[in-house]
Amino acid sequence: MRVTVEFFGVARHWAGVEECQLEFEEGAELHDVVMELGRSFPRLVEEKLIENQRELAASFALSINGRMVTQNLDVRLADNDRLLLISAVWGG
Amino acid sequence: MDAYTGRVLHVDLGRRKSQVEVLEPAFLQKYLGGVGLATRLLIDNGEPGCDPLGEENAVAIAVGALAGTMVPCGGKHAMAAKSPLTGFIGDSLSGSYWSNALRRAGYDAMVIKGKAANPTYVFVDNEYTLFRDAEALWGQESFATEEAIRAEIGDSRVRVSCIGVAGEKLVPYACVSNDRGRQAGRTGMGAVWGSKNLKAIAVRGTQPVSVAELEELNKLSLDLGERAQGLATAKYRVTGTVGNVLTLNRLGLLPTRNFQNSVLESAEQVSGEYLQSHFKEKAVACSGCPIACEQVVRVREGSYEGARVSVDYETLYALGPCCGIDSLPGIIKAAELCDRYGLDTISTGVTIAWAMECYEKGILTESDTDGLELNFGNHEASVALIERIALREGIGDLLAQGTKRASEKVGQGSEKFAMQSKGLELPGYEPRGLKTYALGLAVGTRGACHNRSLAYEPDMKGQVDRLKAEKGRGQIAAESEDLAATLDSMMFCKFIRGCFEDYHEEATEFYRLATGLDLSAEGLKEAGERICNLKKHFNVREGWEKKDDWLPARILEEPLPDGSGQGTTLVAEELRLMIDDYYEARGWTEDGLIPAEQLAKLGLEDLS
Ligand code: SF4
Repeated sequence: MRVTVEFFGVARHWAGVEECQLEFEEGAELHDVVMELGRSFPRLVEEKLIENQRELAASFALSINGRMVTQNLDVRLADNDRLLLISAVWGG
Repeated sequence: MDAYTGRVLHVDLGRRKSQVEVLEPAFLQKYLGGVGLATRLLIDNGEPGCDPLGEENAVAIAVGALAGTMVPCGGKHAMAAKSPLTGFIGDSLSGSYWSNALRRAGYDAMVIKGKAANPTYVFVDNEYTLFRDAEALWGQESFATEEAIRAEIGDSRVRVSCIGVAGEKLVPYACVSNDRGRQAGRTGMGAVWGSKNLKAIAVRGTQPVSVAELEELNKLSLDLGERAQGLATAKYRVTGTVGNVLTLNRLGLLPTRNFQNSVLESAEQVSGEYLQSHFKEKAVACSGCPIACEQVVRVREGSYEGARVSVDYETLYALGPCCGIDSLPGIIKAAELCDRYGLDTISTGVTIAWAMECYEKGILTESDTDGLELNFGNHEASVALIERIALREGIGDLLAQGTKRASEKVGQGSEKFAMQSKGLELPGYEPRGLKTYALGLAVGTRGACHNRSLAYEPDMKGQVDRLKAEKGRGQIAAESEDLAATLDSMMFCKFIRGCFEDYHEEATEFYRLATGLDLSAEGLKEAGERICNLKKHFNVREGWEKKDDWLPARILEEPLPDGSGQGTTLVAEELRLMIDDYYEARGWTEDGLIPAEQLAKLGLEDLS
């Protein structure tokens, strides 16, 4: 199963890329994506955007295909999902 | 009592007199400072039913309890008056050194009434209040005014808050500026100053500010300062709020071409990232702020070479995508002009966007627009319009009235795409895709405002389904308003809120250590509710009706045309359901009025 992760704002700054593609077994969850991101982009762990290997810091969230936004990572992935790693802190 | 001075400076411009009112600790505990205190002082000193641009309107300015202390991000002030843009409560915040100077001059607040016979500036020189001639300053830009006053007084420590030409010309969305580029931006406080012939308030405050428990407060402040360097503020520090552009665009929430679209195809060109790499000069901070979210940018070449300003997301959205403009130099130039003339960038941009749509639909033609081609994307036209608006020349005189009045005048269906609520132009988040936020905009006491209601947070964090309008959102919106009211009255910058593990507990600890007054977390929450009710009470007093809590027809009649929320609607019935739910959560009547017992419960029985 292939998913794409797009990075925005600080996450893009630290990841150093705009997006990446990851492969998972059937049944994988958002937690697995976060774990994989931590391995591929150690800066995200260094900066504590990723905590305890598989959790996102409270000031970040994932959006699934640009519609739903979630901080709950017990969500199953579907093939070809596009995930957006975004800040959950707003204001301007 | 420490930190607070317990003193309000009353200034009568007509009589050129000032006097000091003493405030009791219990009164200060009740209204905290900032927005809470300013609103209460406005209610007590402004004439009910007054013309916002008449002598009877009062301007109340209040700092927070922590101003002038070592607490990070606590040095802001709030300004309240009846708004010439909305006819309801106008309240606006600004930060930095001016706020601290007022406290150090010995005041928690100022109330300004009457009208000076000639252009005047008030000089609060510690315990002395002087009325000075501002004839030579009239017509000057805000930056130049600050410099001129400092030079005249001959002291670089003097802090100046002032209006630009737009305020003098009574543009109802003129702002008040201080410390070179900080603004009390929204709801037209600058026009109220202009109507009083008040060009500026200069403050020299050199007295120490006492705090109740110095050592403990120092420790806590250092700790908060350290936390403010952490992840919760990374966004503000690394990209500034302009980092919102690409995310909102990808989520289909970037209002584009006057909310006709929610995606800008060329968003990369106006992104925070592009701004950083091509235009950033430096980041600057308000006094005592370790975050430094303000991005100072400069155009280095081309026809706008030399334009320099600090830009945040709302400014970028309003003068950029909302006008279909994807030229950062054009946006930077427009923002600089707004600052120089003293115009609220959001209302300016959204009003220009409305004019552009009118032009593209043939409602306004070149004979109305002084020959300008107001197509979306035309940054030269936008730049030209800003000067006309500030000076109220040609088409600028129509646009200077804001979208509500301008569209009522022009008619031909243009009211449907006047993107305002209660007369205040919408900020840069698409409400059809953020339903709790949409409710917050509709019921906001100062009009369509994201800052007085933080209701976009539950939508954006996924705590609720952002695309669904349902019962329950009323409670969420009410709580988010209460939270914002406490931040705006304690006068903590909202960008530090994520650094608290338990905001209410920690904020009250800061309050206690600074002032020596007790305030529980519950007490702080209740103060937030009290302050929101106070603002609503002001609106009711000034003629608020249920129909005023509403959103523009475009939001309620047109589905989102593009982006990830394409096809999403927010129909009138859904908005009605959420508003009724909100009134219920607030303990108000079905008509949205505050029952006497609710006022009494909040300690506001004297207002019933
Ligand atoms: S975070 Fe930004 S707005 Fe807030 S106090 Fe700091 S510089 Fe000022």
